[in-house]
Amino acid sequence: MTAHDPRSAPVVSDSDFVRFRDFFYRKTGIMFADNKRYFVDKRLQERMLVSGQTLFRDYFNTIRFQASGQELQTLVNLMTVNETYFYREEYQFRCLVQSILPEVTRRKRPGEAVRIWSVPCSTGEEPYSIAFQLLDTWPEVDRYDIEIVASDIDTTVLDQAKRGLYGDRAVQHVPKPTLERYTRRVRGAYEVIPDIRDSIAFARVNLSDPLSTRQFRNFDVVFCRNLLIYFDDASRRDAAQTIYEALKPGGFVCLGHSESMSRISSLFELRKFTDAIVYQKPLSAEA
Amino acid sequence: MTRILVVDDATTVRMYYRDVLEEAGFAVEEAVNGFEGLEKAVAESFDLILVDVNMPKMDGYAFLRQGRTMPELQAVPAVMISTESAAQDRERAYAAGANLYLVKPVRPEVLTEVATVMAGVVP
Amino acid sequence: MALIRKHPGAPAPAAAEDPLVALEGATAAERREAAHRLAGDPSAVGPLADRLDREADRSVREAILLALGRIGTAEAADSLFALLGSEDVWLRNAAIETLAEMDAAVIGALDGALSDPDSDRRIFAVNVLVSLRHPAAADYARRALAEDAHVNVVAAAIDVLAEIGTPEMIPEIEAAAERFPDAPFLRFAARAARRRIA
Repeated sequence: MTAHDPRSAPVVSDSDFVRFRDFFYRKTGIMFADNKRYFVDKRLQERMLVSGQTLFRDYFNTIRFQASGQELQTLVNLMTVNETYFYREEYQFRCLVQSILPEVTRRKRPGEAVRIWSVPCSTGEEPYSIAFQLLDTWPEVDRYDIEIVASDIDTTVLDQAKRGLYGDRAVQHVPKPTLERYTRRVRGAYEVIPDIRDSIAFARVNLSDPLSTRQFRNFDVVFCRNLLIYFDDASRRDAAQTIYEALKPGGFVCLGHSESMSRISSLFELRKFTDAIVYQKPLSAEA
Repeated sequence: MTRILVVDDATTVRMYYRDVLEEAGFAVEEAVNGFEGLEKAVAESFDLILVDVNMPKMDGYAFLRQGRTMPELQAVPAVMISTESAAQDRERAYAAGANLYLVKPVRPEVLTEVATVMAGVVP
Repeated sequence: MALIRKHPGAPAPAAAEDPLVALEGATAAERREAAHRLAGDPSAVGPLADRLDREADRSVREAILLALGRIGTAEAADSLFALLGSEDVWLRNAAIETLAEMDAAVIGALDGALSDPDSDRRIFAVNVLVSLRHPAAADYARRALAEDAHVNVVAAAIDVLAEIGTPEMIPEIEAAAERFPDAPFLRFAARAARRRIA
């Protein structure tokens, strides 16, 4: 065997792959198709080398039984794409404007608040995307007071989000007219205009701690995309609980495209709209 | 092709149904619990549902009760397959909206026969 | 402009009331918060389990289950195992899930659950094993494999070992399938387990 040759990659057999895939699917809901074999093997091999466990069986035991869950977490981070940019998973913003907000505002008087929470907001692309989309595409945007709250556990990215400075890659999916209207060029970067920057409330939050989010209440919509896949099962339920408590009855939550509430919590109802599947806190729920 | 949705949290059970039913010419989709079952059902249409009782997040009864209020699932035949054999479990299944109730384990020829009859078409 | 900034507010002052009292509060919000606050208090297992028994609001039930899971003691595990016999389908399945998230504390209580006269409860207990990050988990499954009289419990054990088992367990798995010659599903399960383990 070439296990002792430091230059050769550790072996991931066909049945290793299937076993790993089933396990990963159960843990995260993410299923790797056969054509992702190379993608998966490469990352497994990388971690096996780093952790000094070149036999798949040993490494597999680690990710399943390690008490801290650290290695599994590292692996999840590697296996998932964490790039953020403006208008990522845009179909959900379309859904927000076409389906969610019309329902939410059916019960509101003009001038009432519409509250939207973006968590995690990371470096701000998501809350600013929401703002741009509402201003550009929602006909009712002036009828209501829109409050956008943006949160993250990482204060460094929050600071960046507050500054609102972005490069070409981040804004590549934003239509030019929109970019011109809501940003200005600052030393080659795009800076979100002060009116919009100042209208978003940024706050640090730990979503897996229900007690730390007591002041986050009465939201109509929560965007919680591509965060919960990083949590273990218990923390996911905690986070879902936090989101539930943050929502008004009838409020909606949008998860990332490869995520589903089906593996996380039974508190929400399934709502299928034209552009997206989202989840709703039952209207009949006690606040 | 006749499409069957298998809703069960046990991997081995899903694999077994898939093995037997694909052999018989059916197309099979899987869901690990009732909620995921609802998600699959609103995304694609099925000719038959096979659903377990005990599953995390949303059990089989809840799946059926909710499914029967949705246009996508109102009229799709559903076979509830459970480990529980008491008469009250059978009644409960029918009250929730099952068309048929079977007790595990199900023999392959029974599974195929039931699927063929309940889906209403030859695959 | 339509966008209005509203500060999310200073952290709301922690509720002054004794959480054990708030656990019986008039609103679901109050009771949920009480459960969250009790999640770090091992002495709260009794009151939490007691409230759970009488609680109708699912979000409060979920908060209580999460608290019991976080407390993570053997007493908390026992209170959850006790729910496996509940007529409430949601509750018993949610209890299993919570147990599966508890790791070490569960091991002690598993023995009793795995010997329960009710085969469905033994199935539930076996199903807890698959997520346990504990090396003894496989051994419990093997015991059920070798000793349980009920075909569906053995099936559950095979399903668990297909995920957490190792190649030297394959003969035991195949032997278990042979104990039930009238159940072709078990032979399939053994073959599938072999593929998934080897």
